[in-house]
Amino acid sequence: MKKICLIVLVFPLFLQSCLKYEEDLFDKNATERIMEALAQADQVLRGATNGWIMSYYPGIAPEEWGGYTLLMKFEAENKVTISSLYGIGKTDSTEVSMYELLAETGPLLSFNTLNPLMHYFSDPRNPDGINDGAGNVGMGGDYEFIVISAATDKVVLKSKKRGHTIIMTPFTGAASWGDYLTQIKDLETKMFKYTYMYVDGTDTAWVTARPRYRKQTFKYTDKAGENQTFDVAFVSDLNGIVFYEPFELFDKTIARMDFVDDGEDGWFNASSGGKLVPTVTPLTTFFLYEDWYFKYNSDDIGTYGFSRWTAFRNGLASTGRELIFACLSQYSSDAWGFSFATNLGTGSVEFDYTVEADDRVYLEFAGWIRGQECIDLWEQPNGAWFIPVIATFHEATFTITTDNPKDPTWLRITEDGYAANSYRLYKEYTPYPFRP
Amino acid sequence: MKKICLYLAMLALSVLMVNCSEEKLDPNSVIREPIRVETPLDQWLNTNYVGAYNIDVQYRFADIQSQMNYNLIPADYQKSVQLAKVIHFLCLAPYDSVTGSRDFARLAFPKFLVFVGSGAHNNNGTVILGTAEDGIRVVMYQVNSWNTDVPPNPANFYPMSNAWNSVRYFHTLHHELGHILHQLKPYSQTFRAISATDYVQDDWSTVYANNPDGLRSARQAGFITQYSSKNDNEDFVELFSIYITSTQAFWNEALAQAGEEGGNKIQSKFSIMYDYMLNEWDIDLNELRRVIDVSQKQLETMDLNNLD
Ligand SMILES: [Zn+2]
Repeated sequence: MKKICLIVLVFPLFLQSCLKYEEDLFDKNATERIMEALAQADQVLRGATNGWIMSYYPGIAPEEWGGYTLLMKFEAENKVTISSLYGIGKTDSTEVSMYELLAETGPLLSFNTLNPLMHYFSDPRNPDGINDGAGNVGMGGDYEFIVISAATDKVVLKSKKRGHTIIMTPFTGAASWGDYLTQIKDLETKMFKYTYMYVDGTDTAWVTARPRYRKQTFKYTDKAGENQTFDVAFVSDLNGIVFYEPFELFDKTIARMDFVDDGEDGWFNASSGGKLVPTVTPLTTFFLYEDWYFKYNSDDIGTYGFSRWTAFRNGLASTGRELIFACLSQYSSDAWGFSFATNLGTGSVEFDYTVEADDRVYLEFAGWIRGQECIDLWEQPNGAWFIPVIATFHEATFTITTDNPKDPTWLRITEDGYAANSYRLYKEYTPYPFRP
Repeated sequence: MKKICLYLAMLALSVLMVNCSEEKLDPNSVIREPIRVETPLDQWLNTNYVGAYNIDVQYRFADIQSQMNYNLIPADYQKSVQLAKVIHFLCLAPYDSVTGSRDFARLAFPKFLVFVGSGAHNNNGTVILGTAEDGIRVVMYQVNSWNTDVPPNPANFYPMSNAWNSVRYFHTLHHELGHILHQLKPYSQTFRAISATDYVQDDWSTVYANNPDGLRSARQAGFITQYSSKNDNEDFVELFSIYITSTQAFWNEALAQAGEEGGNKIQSKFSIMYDYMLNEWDIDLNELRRVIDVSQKQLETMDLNNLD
């Protein structure tokens, strides 16, 4: 017998708190003081002649989508020029738009006309489809920032809705913006290639270090024998990665990690004295701890599943739906399974797993589904073409193979004793799997 | 210690501005723009909107002025230039032309136009194109999707336009202006009676799906669009705004699709609306529609980026 428990996702309400001012706000001195503060902040912003490096964090929490480096220069006539590697951003391109300093609880820096590089993070329809279909939040980033402090060597901002701390430091050195972004891009290719083990003396933690977004998951067993897991967000700089805020691990503080490029795999030196070293990772670990995306074709789906996916495709189309993505992933801190989004919403089907060997895992439907869209697909009549797809993973042991055991770009899972039940899953985010 | 709430204070300020909207807008009265340099668009707006019609176009994004419930992004500057020019030419000027002065637009047009780059997406999948608050402020969403290069699409819902995208925006604007008109001078109760039992309120988008079949069912039930089925006010302004942005051929086709029963209802409601516009506002909708059509054709040769 199966239990079905429906969990209704409660979207957090973002309540705009009332901005409180001292009673004397509108007397002349206070107004003048505010104007002065605005003028000063503007002077600092425009004073960095090579512009600023902004460590930007979108997301409801910084750990949701990790951190992003944006280069920006503020000039006269409210002009701001931005360069980044995200969205339409390239190492050698810039986008110009307007900014403004407004009077709120303090000076408020607002990017108030469209800049595709800044608003990429706040567009309810993210141009790359990130988090699309989920209440049209996109990456949920802010583009209005309270200026906490503004000095020529550092500007501290607080994102208005989310409250994240956003730091800007002046862009210095001889390199051009383009060179700087190219160096970061090259370094990230090296840094994010492998799975790492964090080692500090006898303490060890497993770390995802091939992130799609700039965040890492640490998993370890504490002294009490409890399994612990947490996420930390970071941005990359020219030496390695800098965390959103310092965090504690094994009673030491980690603020950043510097990458050591030895011409081979490389490693990180953490500011705690610990190290991140590349590790040979069981395929089951890759399979269970990372996101693996489905593609729809007869090479990537075995004959057993293919007809079921075809019926799934037709069923979605007949109800006005389109699949945005489908993957096997750890979709919340306590649940792993089949996760997907359609144009109408997101959903997930939880599976229990048992690791039987480094390359073998047993899967079983855990009895839980999440998301209104999943409920809608699960119920009849839609269930007739949705549930058969889910059933291909149920009560089966799969053997995992890959193209590259150290750095997999795909994993193939094949049911033991039933080779027709097989999937090749991709590390790379694969949008719209049913589109030709 | 006594604290005051700036947000409320600012709301009070905007109410104040509305109450004295007979006067020219004073740019110094807006406390949120202390370090602002006038752009070419600002200068053009000062002459062609503020001076001419007492209308404030806000293309710089200020979250506090829009809908905090939605995730929104700012409008693109250049798209704002184009949209401001097109609204001026296609939406304001035709009223001047049929009424003989700017007085009608000065009176009935919303005082604030707020441009927003993205759409306002609801969780049920619908997207709001425009909102009007008490006839004071119209928020126009999806300005960044506005594309003047899109070729005409004969299958589109509003076939009158050559730059069909523009009609989507103008339909929204005429729709909102329609609300202002009926708020200023109510239409007769007989209008409401015609479809009284058929209005479905907030269920309009589920009762009549956003596809050709949904539109057909809406028309057969006596509604020119799906949204018309919401309530009598929406019905009234949809009839108004769809009529003046559609060709007669399109209108005839809509009536034909509605069938006898639906078509009769649409016709009866339309003639009440038509008479209302003529008697209450001295505007012949056929003349207005002709002027808009001519303007749209002229628009094709206009340089929308030119602010001289
Ligand atoms: Zn309306």
